[in-house]
Amino acid sequence: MDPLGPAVLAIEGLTLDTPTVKICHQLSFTVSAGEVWGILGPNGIGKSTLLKTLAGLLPAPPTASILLFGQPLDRWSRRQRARRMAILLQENDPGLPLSVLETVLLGRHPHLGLLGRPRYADLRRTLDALRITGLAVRRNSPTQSLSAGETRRLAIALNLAQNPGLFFLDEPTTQLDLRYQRLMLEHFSDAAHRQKKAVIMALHDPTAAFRFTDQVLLLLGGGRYLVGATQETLTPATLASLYGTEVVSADSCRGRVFDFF
Amino acid sequence: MNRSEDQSGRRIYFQRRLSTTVILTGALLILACFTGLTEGGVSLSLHQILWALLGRGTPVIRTILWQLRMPRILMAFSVGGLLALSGTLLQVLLRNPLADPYVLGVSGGAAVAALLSLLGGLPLYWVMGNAFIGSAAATLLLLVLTRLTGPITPTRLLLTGIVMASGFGAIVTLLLALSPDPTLHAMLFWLMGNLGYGPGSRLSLLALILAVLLLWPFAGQLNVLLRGVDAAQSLGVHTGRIMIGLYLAASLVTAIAVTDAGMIGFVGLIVPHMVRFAVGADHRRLLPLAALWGGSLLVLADALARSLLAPRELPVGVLTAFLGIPLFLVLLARGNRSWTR
Repeated sequence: MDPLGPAVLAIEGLTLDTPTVKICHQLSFTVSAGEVWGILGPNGIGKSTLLKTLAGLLPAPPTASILLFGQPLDRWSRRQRARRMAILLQENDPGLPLSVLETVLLGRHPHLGLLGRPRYADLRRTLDALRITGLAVRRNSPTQSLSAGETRRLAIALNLAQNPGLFFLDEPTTQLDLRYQRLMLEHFSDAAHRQKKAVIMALHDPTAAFRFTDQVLLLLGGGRYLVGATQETLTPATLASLYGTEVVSADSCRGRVFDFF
Repeated sequence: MNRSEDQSGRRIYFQRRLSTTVILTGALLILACFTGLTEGGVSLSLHQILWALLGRGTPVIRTILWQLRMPRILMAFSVGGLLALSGTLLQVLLRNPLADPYVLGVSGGAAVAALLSLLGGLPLYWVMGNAFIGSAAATLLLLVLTRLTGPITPTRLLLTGIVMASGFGAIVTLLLALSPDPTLHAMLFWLMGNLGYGPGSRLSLLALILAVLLLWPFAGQLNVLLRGVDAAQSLGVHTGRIMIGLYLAASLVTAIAVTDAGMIGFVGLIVPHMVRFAVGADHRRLLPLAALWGGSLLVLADALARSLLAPRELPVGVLTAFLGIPLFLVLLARGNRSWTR
C-alpha cells in the first residue's frame, strides 16, 4: 500500500453505456488526495452520467471496480460514504422553502447524530461555507428568492458544509459571474492543494481547466478516452479532436488561453 | 469570523420566531378548546363550563360537556391533526406543495374501501383496515398512472390526482345509490366530512400522538429529501426506505382520519402552509406543529359548523372547503412561479 494510505478514488475497468452513447470503455484512473481532476468532453457525451456513477447515484456495472479510500463503493454505508464524498449536481430541485442557512445546514446531515440536531461546530462550518460562497448576507432569505447564480452558489455551499474528502462537481461554474467563477475554482483548488482534498469536476472551459486542474480525463466519444497531466494533455490538437472545431492557444504568465474558430 | 457573529448565527437558527410560535400555538389550543366547549346547539358560558369541569353545576350541563362536547373536540382534534400530518407527508413524498389527501384522491380511495366494508356489515377494525388498503392503493395508483402517461412532474401528478379523486367520488355516489335507504342519510353525512356520524373509535388521539412521536426522529431526513432524491441520497439518506415509510405513514394516517370523519378536505393543504409561513419548512418543527394546528383548526371549524345554523349541524367538510379552496388557488398562482416550475 501507498505510504500515504489508499488513493481517494481508484477506478478500474469501468465500461459505461447508455442506450444512445458509449461513454467509456475499460476506463481506469486513480485520484490521489490533493489532486484536481477535470473531465472534458462535448455535450451529451456522458460526463454527468459518469460523475453520478462514480458518486454511487447510478449503479455501476459489476465488472468495474470503484474503490473509495480503498474500499468498494457499495461496501460503505450511505452515511459513511456521504461523509467522504459530495456531489454538486447540474440541476437542483427548487424544493420547498427552507431558508438559505437551513439549506446549507443540510450538508451537515451525514455528520449529525440520530436526532439530527446540529451542534456548534456544524453551525460554524455552515457559516464558513456561506461566507466562502458570498451568501452570508442572504442567510435568512428563502431559497426561492435567490437568483440563478446565487442558487448555484447555494448548492456549492451545501457541498462545502458537507466537508468530504472528495468533491464531484458537475460544471461548477455555470450561472456564475466571472468573479465567482474564479473564486469558486480557486477555493476548490486551494482545498485540494492545502487541505489534501480531491476534486473531480466536469468543465467546459479549457482555459479554466488548464489553470485549475492537475489531471484531465477527455471523453472522446465512442467509448474512447484520454487521461493525463493537464499540462501535456490539454493542447490545441487534443481539444480540436475533442470538440471537432479548430482551437488555438497562447501561453501567458498565468497559464494557457484557448480560443476557437 | 468572530465569536459574536457565530453566536448570532446560532440564535438565528435555533430561536427564529420560535417563542412567538409557542405562544401562538398555546393560544390557538386554548381558543379551540374554549370554543369547542361553549359553542353548539346550546351555548354555554365560560362560568358554566368551569363549574361543570369542577364537577358542579346541573347534571344536564355536565352531561353535555362530558358526554357530548369533550369526546367531540377530542375527535375533531385527532382528525384535524391526522389530516394535517397526512398533507405534510404527502407534500414531501410527492415533492408537491399542493398535495393534500383529499385533492389527490387518497381520502377518496379510503372512503370507497370503508364504505364498501360498511355496506358489507364488517366490524370496525375491518373498516379501518380496508380504508388503509384503499388509501395505500389510491396513492400507488396515483404514482403508477402518472408515470405511465409520462414523466412525474408536480403539475401532472396533481392533474392525475384530481381526476382520480373525481373517479372515487363517482364510485361513492354509485355505492350510495345502490345502498339500502335507512343507512343512507348517516353514511352521506359521514362521507361529506362530519364528526358526529363516523364509525370511528376513540383511539384516534392515540394514533395521532404515536404518529408524531414515530415520525419525528425522521424529520432531519425529510428535510434532506426536500433537496431532491439524488441530493438526499448523496447526503446519506436511504431515500428508497424513507419514501416507502412516508407512503405507508401517509396512507395509514389518512385512513384513520377518513374512517373517523369521512372526507374532510383541505386541512392537509392549509395547515402545513400556515406552519411553514410561521416557522419555515424544517420538519422538526413542522411535524408537531402541523398536528397541533391542524387539530385546533378542525375543532374551531367544527364548533362553527355546529353553531352557525344551530340546532342544525353543517358538515365540517363544507367549512374546510370554503377555507381551503381560495388558499389552493393562491398557492397555484404562486406555485407557477416558484414551486411547480
